[in-house]
Order: sequence, then structure tokens, then C-alpha cells
Amino acid sequence: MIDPGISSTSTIDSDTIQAILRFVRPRPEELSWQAIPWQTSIPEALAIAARDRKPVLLWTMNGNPLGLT
Amino acid sequence: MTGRESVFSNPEVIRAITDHFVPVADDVTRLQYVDDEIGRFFRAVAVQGHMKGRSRPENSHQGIYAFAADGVHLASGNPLQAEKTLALIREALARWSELTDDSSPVSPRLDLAAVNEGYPIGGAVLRMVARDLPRPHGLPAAVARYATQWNFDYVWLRPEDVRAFVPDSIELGAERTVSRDLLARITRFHLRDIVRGEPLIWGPDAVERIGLTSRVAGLADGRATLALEGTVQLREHVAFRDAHQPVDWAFDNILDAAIAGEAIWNVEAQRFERFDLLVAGQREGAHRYNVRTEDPGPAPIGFAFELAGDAPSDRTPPHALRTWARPGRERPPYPVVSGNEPYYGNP
Repeated sequence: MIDPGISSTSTIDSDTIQAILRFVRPRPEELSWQAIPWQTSIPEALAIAARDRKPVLLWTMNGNPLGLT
Repeated sequence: MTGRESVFSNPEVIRAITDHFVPVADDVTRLQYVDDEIGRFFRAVAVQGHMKGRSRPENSHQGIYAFAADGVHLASGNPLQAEKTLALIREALARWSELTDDSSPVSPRLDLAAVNEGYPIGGAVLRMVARDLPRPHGLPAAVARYATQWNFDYVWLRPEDVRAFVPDSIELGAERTVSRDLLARITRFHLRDIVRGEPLIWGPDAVERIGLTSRVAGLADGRATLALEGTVQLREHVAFRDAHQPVDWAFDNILDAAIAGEAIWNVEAQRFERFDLLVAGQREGAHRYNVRTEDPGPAPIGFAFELAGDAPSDRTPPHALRTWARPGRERPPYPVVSGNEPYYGNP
């Protein structure tokens, strides 16, 4: 059970640390979008696209879609 | 971040993109503002598509763009539904089939150095996930739709930053107090309430109290187990106009949290093999773009740090890090955050 009053004065034992880390980290089903082999640079994506004769699909957001957005 | 779940987690979308495209993702702020080869290339694509006639800087160019390697636009839009995205993909592939009958796209040679600037070669990359912790009575009804949201960021550490977490002497009980400057940078740039959006970094005067001690708690097989323990208290007054309505807000933004974790240090290789760090506590307040004005707290929040992997996406830069200058502005020759403050501290 995670103490909802947790703060800077709390002492957290190792079991609780692990429990909270498990709760915070994403579950596999929350990471499905990472199954797409995203490139992180347009120059590299263009080079691959020209080599493999494929079109590019760019996903662009405020903030990086592959990080904080 | 809605698109991660509503569009790019759809099996049909994943299959269609993986089978038929070279997928790439990037920050639209960089692409639509920066006057370099990459920015100019993107804008030349964007004006052919759904941003045609709407390419003023204040119109965000967010969305999905399909194009050939030479910049010929195939299809674009900003759908948040899988079905609309699949329609966009079908449109792009139909146009692509017309192009490739008798053409061979030649990609422009763009400056790759502009992408990788600041990557901490020989250092470490941490992935930091933020999520609301359970509350006794759940979320307020007005924000219940955000119950499943989480977000993440990358933290870049140079070799000297990594070493700053390790006691000088690797023997049981040896301790090291991590420098305040390093902790302040990490907390101000990364311990932001990002669960629902993009808050600003904490200001330089926001750090009221911060400390982290690393202690050798175990030694085995050339590896030291480091116990990490500390606290952080941040406070900053902010005032802003609401992002969607003519309302002015003011908050005392607060983070009051414990820091605890464990890391495994390979003594010979001089690198971390594991770095599990938790920051858990109370957050309070809001920013213009982090969707907290209806839910300012105080409420519990958790940040989980771990070593990032080696996939291309794990080279995504930290959100706070800027390796470009806005048009008309000079920037120092090192990676910076907002306000041209050095991401890695004073050079």
C-alpha cells in the first residue's frame, strides 16, 4: 500500500521503493507504440528512405513524441 | 501524448507504418521555428499539406506527415483516432505508388550533427517516468479522464556527472554527498509535474532544500551496491494566462519529496549496470501547459529513474535541452535549456 501522504520527511523501505517503482513505470500494454521502429533524426530517416525506396512517416508534436510531450 | 495510446498503439497502425514507411519522430517546436537545413526541409513539406496557408509561427504544425525522401508531400493531418490515421496512411501509399512508377527520390544531405549535439558520450542516459500516485478518494471528477496518464523524459549525464554519484572509496559504508549543483540541475530541469503535459523548468531560486547521499551498501563480484537516499523541496510562485480560456491563474508550485533507490556500480568498467531511483512526494500547483489548474493538489506523485536502453528512441534529447536557437537569437555553443542556461552547468 502506497502512503498517499508520502513526502520529504518519509522514510521509504526497500520493499516500498520497489512497489512504487513498479506502479510508476509503464506496463507493457502502455508501450505498444514503441513497437514501431522510430528513428529520431530526419536526416537519418531520409537516408534510409532513399536507400530502401520507402516513404517517410513523421510524427511531430509539441515536445518530442518519443519523450516528454 | 494522447496519440501514443489512441493512434500508435493500434495494431493495424503499427503494422502499416512498420511495413511501409521509415518512421521518425521529432519535436515540432524545433522543426517549425529553426532556420537550419532540417527546419527548412520540414517546412517545405508542411506547406504542401494540411498546414498549407496556415504556416504562421503561432500555428502549431503538430501532426503526422508522410512524404518521399526528396520532400514530396504524400499526405498529412493531425488525427487522434486510429481510423483517421489509417485513412491518411492509405492516401499516402496511393500517392507513393503513383510517384514510384518512374521516379527515384533523392534525399537531401542534411546536417546530422544538428541532431546529436550534447549527447553524453561515455556518460549515462536515464529514463524518468512520472505518474500520479494513488489518492485515498481517487481523482476529482473533473479530471477523472486523466487517471491513466503518465509521461516520461530522458536525463543526460556526462561521465563526470555519473562519477559524482559514486563514493571515492569503494568500501562498505563509504559515502558520497552528491553535489548540490548537479542535483539542482537535475531537479530543476527534470523533476517537473509532466504527468499531463509540459510545465516550464523550475527557476533558479526554486530549490529550497535538496540533498542526496550515496553509500556503499554491498560489494560482490567487482560490483558495488549503492544505497541512494535524500530529499528535495522546491517552491516557486507562478502566474499565467490559461491556455484555452481568458482566465488568469497564480499558484505556489511545490514539490516536497523523498528520494530513495539503489544502483549497481561496476568498479572495473566504471559504469552503472543498474540505476533505480525513486522520487516520491507531494506536488502542488500548475503550469499553463500541464493541465493541473483543475487539480492543483497537494497530491502524491512519483518519478521513477532507470538506465535507458540502446534503441534509437533512447537517444531522444531531454525535453529541457535545446540545441538550437530561435530565429534572430544567438545561443551559446553548448546545449542549453530555456533562457540559454547551460544544460550541463557552467562550461
